[in-house]
Amino acid sequence: MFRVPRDPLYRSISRRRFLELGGGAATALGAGSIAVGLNSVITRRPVYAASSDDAKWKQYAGSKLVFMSENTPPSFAIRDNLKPFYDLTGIEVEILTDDLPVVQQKVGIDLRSGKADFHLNYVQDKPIGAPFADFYADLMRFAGDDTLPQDPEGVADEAWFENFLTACGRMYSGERIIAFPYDCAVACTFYRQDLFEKYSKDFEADHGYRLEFTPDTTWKQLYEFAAFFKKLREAGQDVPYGYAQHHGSFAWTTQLDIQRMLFAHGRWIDFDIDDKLGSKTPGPTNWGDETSVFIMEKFREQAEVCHPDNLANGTLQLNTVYQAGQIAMQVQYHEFAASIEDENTSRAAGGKTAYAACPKGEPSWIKNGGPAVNGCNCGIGGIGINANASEDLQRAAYIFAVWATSRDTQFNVLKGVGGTPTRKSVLDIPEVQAARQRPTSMPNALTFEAVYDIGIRDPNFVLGPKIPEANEYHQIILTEVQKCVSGKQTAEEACLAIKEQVDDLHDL
Amino acid sequence: MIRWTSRVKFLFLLPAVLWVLTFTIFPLGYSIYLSFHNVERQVVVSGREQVPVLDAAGNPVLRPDGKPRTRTEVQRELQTTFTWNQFANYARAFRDEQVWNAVRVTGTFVLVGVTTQILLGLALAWLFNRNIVARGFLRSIMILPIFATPIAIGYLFFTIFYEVGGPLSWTGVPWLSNPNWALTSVIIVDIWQWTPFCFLVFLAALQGIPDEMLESARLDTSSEWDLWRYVILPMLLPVIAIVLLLRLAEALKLFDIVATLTKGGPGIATQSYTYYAFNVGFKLNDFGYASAMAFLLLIVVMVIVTLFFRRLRQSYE
Repeated sequence: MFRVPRDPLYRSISRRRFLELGGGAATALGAGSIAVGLNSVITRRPVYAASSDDAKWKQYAGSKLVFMSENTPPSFAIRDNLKPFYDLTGIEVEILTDDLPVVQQKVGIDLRSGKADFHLNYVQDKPIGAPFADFYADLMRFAGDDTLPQDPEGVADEAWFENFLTACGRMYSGERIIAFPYDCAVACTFYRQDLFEKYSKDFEADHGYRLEFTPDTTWKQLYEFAAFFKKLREAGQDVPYGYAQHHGSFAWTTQLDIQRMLFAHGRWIDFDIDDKLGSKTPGPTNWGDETSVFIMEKFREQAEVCHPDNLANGTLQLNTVYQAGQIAMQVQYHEFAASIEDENTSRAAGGKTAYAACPKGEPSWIKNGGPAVNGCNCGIGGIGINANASEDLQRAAYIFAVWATSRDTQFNVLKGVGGTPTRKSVLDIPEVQAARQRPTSMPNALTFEAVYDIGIRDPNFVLGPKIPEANEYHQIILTEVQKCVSGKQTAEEACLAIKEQVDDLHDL
Repeated sequence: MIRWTSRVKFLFLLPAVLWVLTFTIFPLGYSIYLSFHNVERQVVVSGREQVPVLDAAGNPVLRPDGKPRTRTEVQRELQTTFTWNQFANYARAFRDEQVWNAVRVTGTFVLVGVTTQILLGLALAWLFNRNIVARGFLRSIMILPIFATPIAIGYLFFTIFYEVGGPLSWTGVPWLSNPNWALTSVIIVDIWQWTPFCFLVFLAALQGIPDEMLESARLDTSSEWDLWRYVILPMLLPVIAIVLLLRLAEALKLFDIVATLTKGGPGIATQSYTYYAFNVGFKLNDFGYASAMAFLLLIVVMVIVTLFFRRLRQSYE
């Protein structure tokens, strides 16, 4: 049926020889693919200060970079639209995204092991920037380099929203800049305006004031709002629960959740340090003082009127609970507004949600004599360059960092999946200004008044402690706060336990 | 003289040997080494160099006195220091309250979970060893959980235990938000997944008992309980011992369900030993302490297994 050659190859090679050849080929292929797969590629064409801008952008054409980032809208948007960058530079960028705790673990291992599998990192100020600050390249070295392309608006403090560059770029001193602000997650209040209007009269009859959110709404009032909704629900009405906190696994969001309440009451902070710059030697913590114990108790009381799954919900789940119409209010990061306004996935979409600044401190709850403010905290996500990478890789990475944080890129991301601009100039674009009112094609812009006009401005802005042991600190707070909220210990015991562990952490 | 073809066999063995050396022996040895050290990785300033400042054309910028303007370039270097700390990491584990909490959580999980799995597995095996309707179909359904990925199961049960709108919400039980119930939830998920394994092995063992033996035993007693107590159970004992051992070793390493279902919370109410060790190592980057914790667990498991096998051997002898 088939023609068999007289002396076919397979007959001239013994089985043993065949296996030897096969094994050798497989080994060579495996080793080759590992070598190719693990290595970045760098090619360079020399440029000079006097070279054209085009030549400066293209000097690393043919190179390949890897960017490890959080699964946030800017990274998704940039990953889906890398073609303009490739066309501009000829550099291929692979963007890997994951949950922030995973990103933190992966970049931590990469940086501390002296490797550079990820040349560019998402440098979230506290969980990544603070512990690994020393492992990032000083971007000012590149910013002053005439042989590299630079952003026409520059990268000085004035180019970004106030405090942003310091928050993610300056760690412990102003000596170095380790990251440029790439995105931001600023806390503000999301609330169901439709329900607030519907039940306002009933609430007013009970409490003597209107059920509404203003910049002067206090944490005490938020508690009363939440208790009101819970009471309605328990009476059999078809209403969501009032409120829920940030718990679950994102330890730093639990820390931020109680911190904004603490800061609102007399601008209390965890350590007596420059909050924006952070400190490697923060000294004794303020946990355990009268303010912290009092507010911890209020936080515990607040939990009692929250959604029943309060302790099981991390930040992402909390947003899903709000999207599902199960709560009427959440203090959430403004990057989530796009998901709330998506009518395909959210029951809170279609004009039902309004946005306000974080609640203000209740004057009668202030114990340290400080002012009542709209304590607002945030995470400024920077883009940083792994200092373990070679000089050329760092330079190529800088080109990407400049492009990724430019005004045009941030504007495109905002128009696309919903970015969170860090450059002031983005807000000056007429389309963005128009988008701050409904109807809007940029849902995140609906939060801009609460976030950029109130939240990030002093005296409301609080960053959270930037200390090398930030992750240990967050874990301690999460553990003790949840033990308190779940009834395992009193507020005072929780605060004293935090103090003991945190001071022990700093050998005090 | 060794022929070339004889040497080839070593070449073929080489990948396996390299694999074991690289992925088993080296990590094991290295983690023992780490467990006796404090590992510090830091960037230090290794030097400062004066470099000329260049203008846009690449020429040196001159000072008013005609000398080239310079700037200081700081050289940084990554330094790793391993400080021998004797048994400090091990001693720390005994002082660490979170370790004791993790031991308590893991112990409760193992004791309640594994015992329930074995008892339920036995009961189900007894049931399925009889002629019941649709036995084959039900048996197939029963063993499905074994093949599911624990991570996926964790997420699945997160939705099941969800208090508002979850399928178990009618119970009114705070499955995930109450510390005691959260641990119960983790145990329930493990029981759900691993009881079928016990059931399957016990069923095979039951079906392996010769009919003649059971028939002759039935001539002596009409009590099903006596039959179990004096005939079936003694014959199943070696199988039960093996299943117990396998489940014990696996349960002591509880990680994936906790990681997906509760993340160790609320607080640290469901933080198992391995989950805590993982957090210490990969979240807090304290590799020395995490390695020491891992080896302490290894020692505990080895002691349990050794005692177990010794007891088993004695019972046979």
